[in-house]
Amino acid sequence: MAELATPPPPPTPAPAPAPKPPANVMPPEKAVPAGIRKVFAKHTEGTLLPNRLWPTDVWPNPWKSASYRRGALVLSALILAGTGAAFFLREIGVPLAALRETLHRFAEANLPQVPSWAAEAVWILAKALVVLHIILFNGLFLVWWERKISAHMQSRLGPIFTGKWHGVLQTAADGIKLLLKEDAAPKEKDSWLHSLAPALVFVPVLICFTPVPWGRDLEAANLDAGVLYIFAWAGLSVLGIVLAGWASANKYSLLGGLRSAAQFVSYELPRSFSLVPLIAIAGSLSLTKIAGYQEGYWFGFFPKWFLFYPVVGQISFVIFLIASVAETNRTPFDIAEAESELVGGFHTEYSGMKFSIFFLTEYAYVLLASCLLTTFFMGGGAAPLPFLSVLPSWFWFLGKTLFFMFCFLWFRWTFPRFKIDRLLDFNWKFLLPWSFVNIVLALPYIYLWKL
Amino acid sequence: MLTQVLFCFLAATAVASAIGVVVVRNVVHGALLLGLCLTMVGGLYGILGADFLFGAQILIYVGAIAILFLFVVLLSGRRAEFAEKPLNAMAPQAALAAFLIFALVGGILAQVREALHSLPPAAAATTSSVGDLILGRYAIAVEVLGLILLVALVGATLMARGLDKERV
Repeated sequence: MAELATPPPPPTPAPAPAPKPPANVMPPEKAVPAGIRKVFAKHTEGTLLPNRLWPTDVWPNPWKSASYRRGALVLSALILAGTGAAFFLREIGVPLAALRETLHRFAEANLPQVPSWAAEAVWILAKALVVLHIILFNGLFLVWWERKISAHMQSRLGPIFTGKWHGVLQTAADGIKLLLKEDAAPKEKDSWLHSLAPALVFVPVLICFTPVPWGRDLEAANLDAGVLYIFAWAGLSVLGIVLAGWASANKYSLLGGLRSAAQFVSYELPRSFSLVPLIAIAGSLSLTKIAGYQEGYWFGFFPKWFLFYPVVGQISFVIFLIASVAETNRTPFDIAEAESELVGGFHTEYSGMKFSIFFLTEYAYVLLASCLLTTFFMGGGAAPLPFLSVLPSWFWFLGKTLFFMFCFLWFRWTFPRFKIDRLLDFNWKFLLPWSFVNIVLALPYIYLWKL
Repeated sequence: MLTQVLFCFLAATAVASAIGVVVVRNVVHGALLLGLCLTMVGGLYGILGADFLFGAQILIYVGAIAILFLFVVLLSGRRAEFAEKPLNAMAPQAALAAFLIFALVGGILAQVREALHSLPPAAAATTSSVGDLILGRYAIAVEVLGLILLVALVGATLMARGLDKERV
């Protein structure tokens, strides 16, 4: 009987759901490390944090959940599979060069009536098609990735049904929907320019990918003035944006187009000037040579990436990164399409496939900016440590590019939007002066080091 | 062969768009055609092997000047269409002047054509050789040019501010 009187022992302590703190009460002390709490308390004066539920309160230990463990397992398996595939594929620049030789020899031997330049023309066409498809598939992937990342940053699931596994086919379904959609546009539009504008936005970004070195001997063309070439063509996209705004016969569109142009023209300056030290040190405008210059290691293990050049490299990197985000018209800098003020900005009056081309271009610019950050600051296809060179250069290039693309998505869902005047002040009064200072700081490198 | 095909395409487009700039009534279309014309001229530099000039042409003439034209047109608040005819009473004189300039350029070309053909082919001009010339042999000329542009910039700002004060 005594046994009955005593209460039964509590069941194995299941992960008790964290008690939901009532509104306006700080979460329990243990949830937020004291150091972080101190820093935030100083800036927010208790106005922001008390209402906020920290992720650790909602989900104390994710590793206890079986689905989380399974997800981590699948993810690491995917990464391992990619690494293994890269290891066995090796450098693909060499077999591609051999393929080109074969094509030329085949044309010479079997098709004597075809002029000699035709084989090269076919080869160039093939390269252009490959680059085009990289851009298209990048759009397909990045839209899905952005939706997943934004969802997880806001404790949502994002696309989950289409394509069974985590909604991988959601973007493809959306693409088909956009193809079938009615192409609605205002009656007063300038119909030629309204149709031309998406093309004018997209074509420059396609051209911009020409000198990007995807790995060793993997650039579509090794242009001697590659950096200049990329900046020149990227500047043309703004023409399409302004025209899209003007041709729509809508004041919101026009405002969005003009804002975008002001932003683009301003941020192009610090973006170019932040690269001057790098170009001076590497002594070339060719992307392949710049990436090649950063191969090798200091003391045998520390990569010679421009990012790690003391002071100059970091200032350049930060300015270039900020200006790149601004050039892609994405959220901290998306005043061109600020939904709360301008409806949709320059693409308010676009629908269907025309709209999706603007969308595709935005993601293509994210890819381009990531490729450039990788090439200029992270040594292109150079491995981070000497023994990791067993993996091919294109694998490292893609890895670093994916990392920067993630950063772009991360920024978008973390920072609030600038106001237009703050945005331009930030550029002209902060970024541009510091990029000039940076050029002066680079002088010792050029004069002392290179002698 | 490939170069010749490209040259014909670029040159024909450049000429057609240049005519379009003058003929088209809509100012925005005109600015856009100007951009096209300048791009095609840049392409001509490209097939001549002048990479740097090609990039600079696109960056400055198309990326900056054509866009500036477009800005001015959009911000000036005028109607986009010209009401007047593109031709007026001055047309014959203008045609004569155009023909004379054309004849002058053609004459000069005919004179120097032989000399041009007898020149040895230029070494491939790389970006670094262009840079050496700009910052070495012609450094002073480039700096003076930069100074003139700076003066023009400051002057323009000053004039714009002065106008604003009068208006306020």
